[in-house]
Amino acid sequence: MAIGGPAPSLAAAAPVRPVMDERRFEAFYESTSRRLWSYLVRASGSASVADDLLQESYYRLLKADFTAESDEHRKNYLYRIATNLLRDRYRRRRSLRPVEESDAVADPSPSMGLADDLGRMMRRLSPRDRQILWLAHVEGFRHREIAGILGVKEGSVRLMLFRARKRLAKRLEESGWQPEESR
Amino acid sequence: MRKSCAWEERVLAAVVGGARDPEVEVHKSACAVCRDAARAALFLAEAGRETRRRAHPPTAGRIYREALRRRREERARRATRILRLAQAGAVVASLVAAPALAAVGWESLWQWVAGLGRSAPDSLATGLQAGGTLLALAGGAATVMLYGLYARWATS
Repeated sequence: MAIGGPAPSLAAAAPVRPVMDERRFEAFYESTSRRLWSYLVRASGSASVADDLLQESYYRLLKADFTAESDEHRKNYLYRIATNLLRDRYRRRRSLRPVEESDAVADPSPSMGLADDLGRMMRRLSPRDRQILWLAHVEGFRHREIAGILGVKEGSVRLMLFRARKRLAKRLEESGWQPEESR
Repeated sequence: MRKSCAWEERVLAAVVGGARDPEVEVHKSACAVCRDAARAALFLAEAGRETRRRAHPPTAGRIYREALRRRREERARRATRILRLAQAGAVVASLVAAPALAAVGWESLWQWVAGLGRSAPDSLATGLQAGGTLLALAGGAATVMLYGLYARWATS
């Protein structure tokens, strides 16, 4: 609060109208939050960062003066917000490099077992690779949508995706990773 | 080097969907692009399932209420911006005025100190005059200090 005395009464007097009512927000949140949290945790490499960015993403979505044509449109917009927040965070930390293993150890994320191994593998990729791979192969976004979310040209997405997949495949081969069904 | 393959979508659909397509298997073993794509897609599908299974986002109500609270705070901050600017201006003006007052009152104060050595009635008259100035100075300083304390409290 900026000022101790008068601010609360001013705040109480001003009606706050969110873009979405609570019921509608809840439905949208239930359908997107787990997926978005997963994207954030794998792209950032930290559960606590994912928590913060998730909250901030929805806050900005609610605050934005933006009319969505559909929930799909709103979802793309939400992922764009989240991706911008991730990018701002990388810039702040000046770490457009994979998170070091020591960071992962220091991160107080809940124990994830198999997910930890998968997470370690993901962290060996660059943030941009993690984002594009996740958006394409886990979230199932189309190239046009990924271009919108990452703020790049649609034509670049195919090439970026090809390179990211190649790097991931190489890392998986080096680590001897096998899909669950063949273990 | 090829950067894409016409079979890519078919391979990915088969691999992620878990379908056994002999044609796809034959192609995959011969095409490096599709092999990489299949390996990456399988890994990511597994990572996605596992991560979502463990996802623990906060409740919708908590996020919504927090968003409303932050919007209210932002509105309040905007509404009180002029007040805060006025407060800052007053503090600056007080800080400028205090040394100016001191400069004006210094001569009278000096006269009073010098007059202490002279006869009592003269000294008393000068002292009364200088005492008024001192009182004004002390009052000014106290006001500035109190205002500073208030501004500190109000902006904390």
